[in-house]
Amino acid sequence: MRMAAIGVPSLVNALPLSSSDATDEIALAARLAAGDESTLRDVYRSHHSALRVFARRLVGDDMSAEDLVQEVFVRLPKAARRFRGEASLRSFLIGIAVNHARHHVRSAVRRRALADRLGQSSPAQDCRPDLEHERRSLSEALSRALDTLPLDERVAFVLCAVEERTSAEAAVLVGTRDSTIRSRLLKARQKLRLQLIAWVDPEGEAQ
Amino acid sequence: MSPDDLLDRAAQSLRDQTRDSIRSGDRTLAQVLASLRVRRRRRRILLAALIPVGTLFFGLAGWAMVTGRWSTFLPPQLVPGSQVVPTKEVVHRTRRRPPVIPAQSGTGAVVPPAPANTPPVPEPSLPQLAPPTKSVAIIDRPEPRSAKTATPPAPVAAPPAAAPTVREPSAADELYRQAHEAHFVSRDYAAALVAWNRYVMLGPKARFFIEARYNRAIALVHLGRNAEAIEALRPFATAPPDSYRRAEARDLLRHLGVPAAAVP
Repeated sequence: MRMAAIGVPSLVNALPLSSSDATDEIALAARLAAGDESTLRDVYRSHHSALRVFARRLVGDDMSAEDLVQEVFVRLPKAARRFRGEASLRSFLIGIAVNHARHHVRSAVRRRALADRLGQSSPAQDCRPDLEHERRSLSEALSRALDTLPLDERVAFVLCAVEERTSAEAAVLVGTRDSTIRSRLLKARQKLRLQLIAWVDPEGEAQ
Repeated sequence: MSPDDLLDRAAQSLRDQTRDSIRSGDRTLAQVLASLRVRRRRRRILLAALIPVGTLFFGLAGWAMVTGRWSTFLPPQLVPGSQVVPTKEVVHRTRRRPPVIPAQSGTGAVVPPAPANTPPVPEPSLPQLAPPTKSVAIIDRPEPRSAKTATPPAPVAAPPAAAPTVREPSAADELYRQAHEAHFVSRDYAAALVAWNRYVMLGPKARFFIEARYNRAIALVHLGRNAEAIEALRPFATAPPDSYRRAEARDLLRHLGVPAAAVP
């Protein structure tokens, strides 16, 4: 059930909840703000997987993603005072993650750069036609390509292209306008296309 | 494969890869809870330290305010109300006493208009006011009141040892000050009358209500509005013996032509 829940991005929506759901989550947020530890445990168990998946996609490595998840839940009791129920609690958590991702993205980028310098980078693309291997390599290549983007474009791409949210949902999470998200997404795609082409055909021999 | 297709496949790959890397997250939860407990403990320690300090500070401030001993723990320039404003006068908060109006030549000394062809009526001199035992006077004017006065002002009694609190003048005090200045300093009796009238309108609860009424009567005399002055002086003249300004009011009425029989 959890896998299914995570695999269906539409559950992680930024659209307004029904009034009863919103009331429940507002009450939950109030208990969080009051420092109720058992409520925090429940919220963590309900949402940490989805948050971790998003964090992993955003920052590009497991360690930084775990740090980001930890930071989000540490900040949650204080941030919960601002929760008004306009979007789901999960979206609220993702919004917190977006707002505090900068430090963790930098950390992940530095780690990858260090690994590259030490020759510990991911194995270059090899000839095995193994689909799993190809998927893994492509995923890794995209993560590295994302490192070259400014954070706001990176966030827009991960929310819209990877997590398959609409630009309207992403705009709510990030706290900006729909048009801004679309603009950032467009710029991100243009830059990433070039990066991936260079990865696929480093010497530019392919037609 | 077009670049867009490649990018979409890469996004799909990233989505699938990260979906597969699920952890239980128990360790992270434990770290979160530990971190929050540490923060709560630090907050409690800070409050436990700040509350007594804050209580002590406000307690001292309250004590200093009540006793006027700001200088005990504040430098002089930070003591509230310590600044002497040359043009303003701070009135001591004391028991109700008549204001010490410095004796000045001509102050309140009423010179009733001498009727034509009559022998000059000796100017009644207002008796010197005895300085009150507790000072009600303008206290931050150690120098003589005004350069215009011909005679030095009556000495102001030194405040008692337990120094009364110097406080900021209220609006009523300010009104009295303005009237007093117009009457005794500027000798602008028309302005003084307006100011006395305003003060008297505050009613009997005003601290110097009686004094203001008497000074108003004097201003009327100076302005030659004798009928009104007589009306204003009559309550003082007909008050029981030893009442405020009874003798002076009776003298003034006589000089204004009111027969003694009409003043019981």
